Amino acid sequence: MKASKNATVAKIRAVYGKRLKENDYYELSSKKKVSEAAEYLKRNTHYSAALSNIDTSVIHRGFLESLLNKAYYDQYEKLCRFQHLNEEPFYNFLLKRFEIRELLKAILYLNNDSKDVYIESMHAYLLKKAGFDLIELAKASDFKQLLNVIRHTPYYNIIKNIETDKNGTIPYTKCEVMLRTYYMKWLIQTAKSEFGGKSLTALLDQIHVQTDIINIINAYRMKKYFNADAQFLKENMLPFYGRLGRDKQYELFDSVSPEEFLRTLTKTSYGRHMENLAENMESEQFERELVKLKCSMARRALMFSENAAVSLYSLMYLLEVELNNIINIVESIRYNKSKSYMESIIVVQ
Amino acid sequence: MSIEKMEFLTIVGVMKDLDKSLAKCVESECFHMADASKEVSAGNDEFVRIDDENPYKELLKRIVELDTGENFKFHEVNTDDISAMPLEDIDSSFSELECQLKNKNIEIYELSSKIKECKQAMLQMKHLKGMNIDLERLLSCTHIKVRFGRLPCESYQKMSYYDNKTFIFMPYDDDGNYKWGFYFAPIDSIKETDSIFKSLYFERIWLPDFITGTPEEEYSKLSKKNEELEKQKNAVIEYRNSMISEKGELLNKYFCRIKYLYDLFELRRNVTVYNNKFYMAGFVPRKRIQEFKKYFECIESVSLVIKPAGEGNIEKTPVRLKNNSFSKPFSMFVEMYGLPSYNGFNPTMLVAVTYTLLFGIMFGDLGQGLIISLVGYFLYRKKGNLLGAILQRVGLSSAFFGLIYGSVFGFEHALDPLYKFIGFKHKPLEIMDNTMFILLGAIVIGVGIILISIIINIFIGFKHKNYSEALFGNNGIAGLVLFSSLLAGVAVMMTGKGNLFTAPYIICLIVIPLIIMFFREPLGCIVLRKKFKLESGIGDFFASNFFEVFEFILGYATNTLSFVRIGGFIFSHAGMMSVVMLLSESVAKGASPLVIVIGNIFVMGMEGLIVGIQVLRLEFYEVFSRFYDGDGQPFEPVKINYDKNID
Repeated sequence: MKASKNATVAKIRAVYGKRLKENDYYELSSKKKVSEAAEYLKRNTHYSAALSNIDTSVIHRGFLESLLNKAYYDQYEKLCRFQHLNEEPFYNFLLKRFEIRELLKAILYLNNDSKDVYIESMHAYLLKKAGFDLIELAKASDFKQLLNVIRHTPYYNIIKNIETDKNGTIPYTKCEVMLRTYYMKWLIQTAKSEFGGKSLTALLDQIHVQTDIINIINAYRMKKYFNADAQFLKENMLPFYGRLGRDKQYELFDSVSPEEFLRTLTKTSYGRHMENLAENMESEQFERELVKLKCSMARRALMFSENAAVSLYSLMYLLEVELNNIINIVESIRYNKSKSYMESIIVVQ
Repeated sequence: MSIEKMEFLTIVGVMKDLDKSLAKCVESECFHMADASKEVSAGNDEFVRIDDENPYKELLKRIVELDTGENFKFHEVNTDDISAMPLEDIDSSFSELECQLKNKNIEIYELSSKIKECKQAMLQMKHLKGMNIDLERLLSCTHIKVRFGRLPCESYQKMSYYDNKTFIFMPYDDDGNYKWGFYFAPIDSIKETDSIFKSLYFERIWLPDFITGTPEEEYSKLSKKNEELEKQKNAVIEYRNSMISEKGELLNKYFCRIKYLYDLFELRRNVTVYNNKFYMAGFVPRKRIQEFKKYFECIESVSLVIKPAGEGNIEKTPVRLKNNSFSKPFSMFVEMYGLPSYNGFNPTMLVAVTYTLLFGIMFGDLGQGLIISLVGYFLYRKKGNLLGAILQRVGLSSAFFGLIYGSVFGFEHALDPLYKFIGFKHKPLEIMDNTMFILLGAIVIGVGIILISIIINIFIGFKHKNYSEALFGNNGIAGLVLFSSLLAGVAVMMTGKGNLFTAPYIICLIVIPLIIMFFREPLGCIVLRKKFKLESGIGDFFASNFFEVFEFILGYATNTLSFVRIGGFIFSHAGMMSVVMLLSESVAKGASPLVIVIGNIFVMGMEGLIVGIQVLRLEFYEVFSRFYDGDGQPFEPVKINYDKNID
């Protein structure tokens, strides 16, 4: 019999209680320098432990971001370790996602012939956690070497048959779709095998909304910036239809313009939650509204679910949104963006 | 025990006398200023507001921004001796002082920077200790460049990626977060190496030029240098402090004078001007109006137009509560909720009486009550804390009820000789033997308080001609009839003296009030001779009123039962004290008094606090919610704020 994970659920809710509030974002966006923002985070937020030994007066923006990223992952690990959740496969959902993220990043930089840049952006805290050697991944100078590094991982079989072009360029979009599809399938199968009842429904609901949002955002971008047609989108989007359903999704892909795409979206369950979607919505604002939607769903799941997996999955999403908010604000401070701009790009929970 | 009556004033005078008039308003300490542009010149474009930039702002900013050290604080002083001094003279005199202080502050800043640099180098040397190298030789290499500093441990893990590069990183210490060390590279590749380390967030530490020997030698040298610098810095700070103690009084006077002029000028924002005449508006308590008029007798051009507040003024009339010495401290609770409106009802006396009574009943103990009262007395005397004054009163109430319960510091029979002396057989009320009496008593008290609250609401409704609320609302006459008939019926039934719930009783005293409450809005319109309009369909009207009336009935029941907590806390207090007594009996005889003392302190602290909060909750939820709005504006006479902050 599995032990109750109520203590973890309580702990997760307590962690969520310490999230950054509207006033914190207001204070952060009022700062004039990156060092001031770092000092605020150190003094007033749950990131204080992660920044405790740091001299914020000379901190580099990139270093601050890497520390915050590490704090995010440490939080996840801490919660998993608390009641030995990490022994159950589903709880590796974040590590697996990060492994895929690093793999895709490495492919991208390899294609651009800038592997030295990859090592700089690589999250060093994953060095000892990832299922493959990240340093060797960074050193790989072609696709063959890259495949060698991941030979003993499940990702090898996923992308081993992908062919590079004559210049050795790896088809990045194809890799991305295949790896993400693998990840989503793994997530769904693992959830189905480990959970049942309300918990499974809540988890699947979140996963489906997540795939829908990824597809909607990517399809819209493809349409807006590359004028992609329906066939291209059908081939390059994740093969999941979530809440949207196959017909609605194809209807979106069939739109002849980004404006029509948004008009079609208004008729979906997602569009109905977004006001003035078709009239005056910028693409960033539209994406932000979708994230808000997912946030409110995660928040609801976090509040009402008694299941540790549902709570942790929701929390990590909410904390990721928070982390992105901070990174966006810090970047905006660095590039002297206005306070109103900062307010327009963040999602307050 | 009501709300202080106010007069609404319009002050008119020629512009040259504006500053003098404003000064008189401040001096009077009883003038609440209103925005004259709303009161006097509403709709008339020929009246102009004064929006000039405050001419004292810059000088005041310079004064408050001057670093005067931690020991000096600006405070209010008499500035009569410099009141005739022209602004230019104050400015030039202050500038001289400012210059001297600034020079010293710059010296302190420079020394602090040197100390920081020295400490950083010391830190580096501390980490280098144990390495037997000659730093001078290392730093003077011509073909190899060396950089000292610290590398985040995270970044250090990436070093193996750079195996084929022409640099070496030598860590010599690890503090858990950083690897302290240095890297060196041939002069040809140092730029590339610097760029790699920069991308790894290496924090370089610049070693001073005078570093020559081994780390141990350099550490002791730097340590001595640091001591010297600290001494120099302290000497400069001391000199600056002596300057401040010598000239601080003058500086403070300049601050007070300029702050006075600045705040006075800021008051102009509420003044309006027409045809070289200024118009001010505001409120003065009626009892001080004659005294206020006297302030303006010496200014010939100024005339005052006075009329009762509330008759024609646009801005809300400010409120000052009038309370007697017993109820005054309880105004704190009323203000916490919000002040009543000018024509409203001052509930302070009601709060004072009910709060004192309920606290005493719930926390009845002669000894503890007297202690609480004494603590309150000292708190109020020493700190002027209003909560202290409240404790004084509730403590005495607690002592009184303790006398009835026969409880002294938890000793339930300590007062028995006293009762026998008076002629009683035993104590008047044995708590644990009278459970039902106490619980029913608590409900009776609650019913009494709710009925008083409803009656007050009816009175206020009639006073404000809000007949709909006074006659047909759940806290109006209809509600009063329904609530009291239900209670009477239940009470008679419970005492077994019959059954009041006959058909005529139910129809007349329960059903009809319910119907009246259901149709309270249309009935209110009929009384006020207004046309009633349905906002959203007849279905909505019936549905929403049905649920509202249902909620009213539910509310009567829950609000009444809410008072059961009074009885609950009586038992809780007795229970907690019996635990203390049991504990004291279970320990060694010598420790017994200590357990009793600690137990009493704990109960007084914890239960006293909980009872205090619970009674306040009853006041706010069960009493205030029936008749009180708390939307009044406080009476705030204009004054000079001798605070460093400038708006």
